[in-house]
Amino acid sequence: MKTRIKELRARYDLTQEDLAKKVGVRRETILFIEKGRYNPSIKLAHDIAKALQTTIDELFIFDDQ
Amino acid sequence: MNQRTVNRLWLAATAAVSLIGFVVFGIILGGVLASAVFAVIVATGSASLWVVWRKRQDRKAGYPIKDERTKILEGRAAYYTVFISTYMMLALLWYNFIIAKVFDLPVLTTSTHVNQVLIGLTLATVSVFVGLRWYFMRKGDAV
Repeated sequence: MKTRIKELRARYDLTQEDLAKKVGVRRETILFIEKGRYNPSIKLAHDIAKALQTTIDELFIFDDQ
Repeated sequence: MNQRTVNRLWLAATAAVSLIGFVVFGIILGGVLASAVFAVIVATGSASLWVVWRKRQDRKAGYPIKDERTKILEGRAAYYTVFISTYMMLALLWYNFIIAKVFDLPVLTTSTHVNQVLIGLTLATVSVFVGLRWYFMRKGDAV
């Protein structure tokens, strides 16, 4: 799974810390999601998408293979 | 001073005090048990202080103490720790039932070895949990 979190964070000038505080998680969690090493819950994915003014579909790119 | 440096200094200080205490108690009292007890008390106290300090730092910075990732990974570490601890206890039983008799070694009994066994098992279980938690936190959770 790939994400566009980093790209959208840059668009809104948000650091990992800022985003983490907005969605109520630790900074490492955002880091691991960005790297594709942690699959967030639907609730967290929704919260991140909302914080970045996008949708879950737009934020996460699922590799079918 | 950043978080990583503080963590390393804290760990080094704890290890140094534990080691010095272990050696000194071993020399003064001539017993490994007293040394081990001292090392356990220092390590436990230091770890508790570190956890409290870290939580305060996180709270001040506006982070939650635990989020969904830490809860999931700590749960996974605890799950594996239960199994590993069970195997360690089974290993001790096997030692008493078979190994001690075959190799003519002392059998562990409640009147002679209970403290050593309890301290050893406690240390091993805590170490397994801390090690697994660290490993899972670094590895992540991606499928």
